[in-house]
Amino acid sequence: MTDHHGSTPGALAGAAPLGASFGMVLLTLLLAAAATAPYLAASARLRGRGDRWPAGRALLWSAAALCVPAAVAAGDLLRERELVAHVAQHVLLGMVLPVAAALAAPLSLALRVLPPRPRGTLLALLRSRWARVVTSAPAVVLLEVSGFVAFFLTPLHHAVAGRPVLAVAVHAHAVLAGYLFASLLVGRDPLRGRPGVRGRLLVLLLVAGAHDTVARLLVASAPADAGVRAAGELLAGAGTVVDVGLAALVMAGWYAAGHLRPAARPPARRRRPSRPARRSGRRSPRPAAPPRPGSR
Amino acid sequence: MSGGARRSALAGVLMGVGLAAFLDEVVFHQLLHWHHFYDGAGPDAGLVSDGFFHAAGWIAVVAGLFTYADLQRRGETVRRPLVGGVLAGWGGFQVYDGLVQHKLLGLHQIRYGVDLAAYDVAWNTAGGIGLVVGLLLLTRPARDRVTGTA
Repeated sequence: MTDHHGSTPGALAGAAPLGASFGMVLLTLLLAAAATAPYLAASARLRGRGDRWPAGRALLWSAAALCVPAAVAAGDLLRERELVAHVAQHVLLGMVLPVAAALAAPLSLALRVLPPRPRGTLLALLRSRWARVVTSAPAVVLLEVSGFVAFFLTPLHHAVAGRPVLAVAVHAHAVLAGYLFASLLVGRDPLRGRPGVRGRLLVLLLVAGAHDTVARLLVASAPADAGVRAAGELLAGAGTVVDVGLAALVMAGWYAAGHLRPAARPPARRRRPSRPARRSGRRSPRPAAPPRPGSR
Repeated sequence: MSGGARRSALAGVLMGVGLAAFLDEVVFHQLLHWHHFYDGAGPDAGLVSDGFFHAAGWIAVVAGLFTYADLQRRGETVRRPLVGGVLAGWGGFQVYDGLVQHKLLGLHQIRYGVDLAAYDVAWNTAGGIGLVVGLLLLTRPARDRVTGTA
């Protein structure tokens, strides 16, 4: 698999105009607008009835929707460097879009504005056994990792050229698996089986490590090819940025919830028999205790 | 160890591993250009090891800093296990990199085009000293001394 057509230096000299896919960019822009409109309408309705829905989430949702036309445009602008174009599209559709979408919490919004009947259907779907399996941590890791391994380490990324149905299927898998992954880690939607902080960091480590490994294996598949090297380094660099961001979001949530946790976890308190044991289950919804000034 | 001491050790180890990975990335890759993303050598197992350690280093530094921040705001930082953890984490990562990744997996070397012996000795000795001193600090029974903002 050394045939990556990626090594044409200077292919980008002079801004390459959008070519054949100008119409596709327009079409996906319309799709993005169609996906954004109901979200904006729903959040406006929530605010209209006095509920709170942060404006930042609407921005995140719009950004997620705009990733689709951006990916089409990127694929066209980088068409001389096939593999780099694939990586750029993967970064936009498989990484940026899902994280932004998960932070926008679309399912929570839907549950709050839908009329009773569709709301009940959505709830039943979210609570179904099927959903429980698909959103479990092992399934999410498997779905996410298998997607980018299959895309970059098999001829699949060549095969999508000129096969729009296959391309859409591949990217749809990346978007959905990415949404499950990001939502499990940092999302606010009511997913079943979201693990605690350590479990989420482990999920992140497995996916981030596999992602970085895929980038290295990609470069190793054609070490002399500058295009392949550039693609692998872009893949790894974008992965590092997103992974550090996800780790920071996971830990920031943990830090912000710190007032819910007991001060220290004493296995056996020697020398301090007077203090009451304050161990409690993780994430127990205890009312926020006032901060203990100088707990010793 | 008390909870504060245990969590100080954990924060230390995480920050130590992250520090080693960060130094490796910034000094050897970006500044000196002694290391490269892919060196054209080594088996795929080495690439897997490299990829997961790269990810682990970044996650460790983020998790370690937040854990340390949480200890500080509670005034529960205990200095000895914290310092011991940093040294052990840094030394352990460096020795792993030097012995397993460089030698056993033959993945990449510290530098190319030079006699490696001096670099290897310096690299592994420094890491080994950090690991041993760190473990001594971690295992020595100590009275908890509270530092920080309390």
